[in-house]
Amino acid sequence: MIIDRINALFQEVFDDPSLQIGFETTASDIQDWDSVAQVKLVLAIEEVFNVQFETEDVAGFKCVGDVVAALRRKGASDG
Amino acid sequence: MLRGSPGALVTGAAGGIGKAVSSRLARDGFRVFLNDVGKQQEIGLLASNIADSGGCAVAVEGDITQEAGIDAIIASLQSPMQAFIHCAVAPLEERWFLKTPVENFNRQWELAVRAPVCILQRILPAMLEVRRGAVVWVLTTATVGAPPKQMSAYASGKMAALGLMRCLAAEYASKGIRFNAVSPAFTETPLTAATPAAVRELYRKAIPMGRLASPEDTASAVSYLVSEDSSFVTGLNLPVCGGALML
Repeated sequence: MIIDRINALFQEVFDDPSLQIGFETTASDIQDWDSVAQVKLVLAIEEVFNVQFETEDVAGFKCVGDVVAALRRKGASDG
Repeated sequence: MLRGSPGALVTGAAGGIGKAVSSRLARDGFRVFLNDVGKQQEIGLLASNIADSGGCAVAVEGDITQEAGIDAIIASLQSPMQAFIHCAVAPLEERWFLKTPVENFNRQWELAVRAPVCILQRILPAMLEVRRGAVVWVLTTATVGAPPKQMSAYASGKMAALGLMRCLAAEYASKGIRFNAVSPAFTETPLTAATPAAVRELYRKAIPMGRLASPEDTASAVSYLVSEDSSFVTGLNLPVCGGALML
């Protein structure tokens, strides 16, 4: 599942193996989610899913669900 | 060779900042001894370029983490040093502390602290004889305030160097030898070239002057700290950061 793969990236970026995100998770839900973490998350997602987000895409990410939707638009699947 | 020119030893001379520091000190009139390891061609070329510009530089290749390397470097110095600028740095890896091998800490601490200790214990006596000398460490803005995460090996090495610098500044202030440091913000060099553009942009936006540091920015600060213009300055960690840190 896309969400599971993204969850693994969140656990790595925030160094927290117990972290569990959901589609509604936003930056205000994770204490260390600052601008640096945001950039690292985007870069990690791009690398793992082999996609490139445009600046407008990233600006529109308000929650994890927005990232999942963007990945699906770029061809990622839950299979 | 310019007779009577004061000698300056620069480690990490093949790096972006080391190259700029070396070139600047040569223009300032120093006879610059360029040290790096595994970069004989690069420091040889730098010495040639400096000579072509009317300056004086000698390449002194050697591994400053090895006693034999330091011995070879010291033997190559053709006169007592009046300045020592420590630019050498190990590659920076971003890792959480628990995922950082102890070897990474050893490597950073060896270069940041042990190597300059070994070099200074050999060149300081000559400076003391003439009661004149200036030593500058190139550190990082991570030494001021809260350091960035995932840089404990690199940042702790630099902070240890900062502590050593201050100790030596206190011990030798009355003896005419000054110790200082410069702490540049993120600098455009080959060492940082692989940093993703998005991360570089983040760093740029955090700087009031709106640009990243250049190697020449740091070289200018080093030039000041080894010159007579800073004769009453010792123990200073000078941020070169476009206003990002205002102490």
